Amino acid sequence: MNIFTKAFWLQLSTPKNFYPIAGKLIPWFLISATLLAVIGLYYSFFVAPVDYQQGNSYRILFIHVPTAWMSMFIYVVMCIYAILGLVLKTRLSDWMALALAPTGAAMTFLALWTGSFWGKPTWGTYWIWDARLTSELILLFLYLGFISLNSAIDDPRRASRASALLALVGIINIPIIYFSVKWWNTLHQGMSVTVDKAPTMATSMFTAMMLLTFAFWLYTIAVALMRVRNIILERESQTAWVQDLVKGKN
Amino acid sequence: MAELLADKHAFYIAMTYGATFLYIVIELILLTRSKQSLLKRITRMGRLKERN
Repeated sequence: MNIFTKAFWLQLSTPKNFYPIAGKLIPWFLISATLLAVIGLYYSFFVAPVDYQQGNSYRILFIHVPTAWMSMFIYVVMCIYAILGLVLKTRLSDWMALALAPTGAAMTFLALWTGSFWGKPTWGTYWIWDARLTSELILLFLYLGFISLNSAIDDPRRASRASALLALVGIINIPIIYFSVKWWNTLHQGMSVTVDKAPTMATSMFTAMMLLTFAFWLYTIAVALMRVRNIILERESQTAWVQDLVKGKN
Repeated sequence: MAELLADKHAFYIAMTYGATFLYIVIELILLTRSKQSLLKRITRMGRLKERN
């Protein structure tokens, strides 16, 4: 089958075809995420040296930075699915956006949580109304708003449309978060890792951070697929294929 | 590792790694349990439909 044809993607985007494929992919993503996390944790605790200024507290950044990156990345991917759902009216796109939102909200919460535990020993405070921290908090509210709006409207089609519009309006917050340290004079430090420059940290520290970033990335894909499978089961529970699938399992 | 545990910032590091690990475990358990309860509900619905 040619993967470059429209027919292939349309075929794949039907819940009936997508459900078993997602089921086969989940263990691979989970195993890869676990392996990368184990190696990343080994690097972050045993290979990366103690920082001469921050001591051991900088090891918090091995979790804080990947979760902060993931919080923004998941929002962008969620928006792409929301746009696809709005334009192409594919149910699976709406469901993927809905499946990504709780993990995105959790990553944002973790970024704020870990950031506050890094801030206390480094800045002397858990929280400050700095541009980067405040815009990240707004991102958490956007995720919560997306989830709440989706569950507040009974008609799934209208719920998806309304929450997609909210997600689209909220995307303006992503460049604000990313460039906040450049645009404003913030307590939050500037970017240590950018696409166009070499990282301003030791190679072992950078390796630990990237390994854990990829581990979080693969984990997110796995849980999003698990959640979308649950959504498919719930929304398609009346269909013959789901009934047959459940009968086959019992 | 012993040096890390004795570090004055060990509490902050433990709260970071602990919370993240806890979140991952809870999310995986909740997703698995919700799938099981969904399957049970669909099976029950199917049986009711057959009976009627």
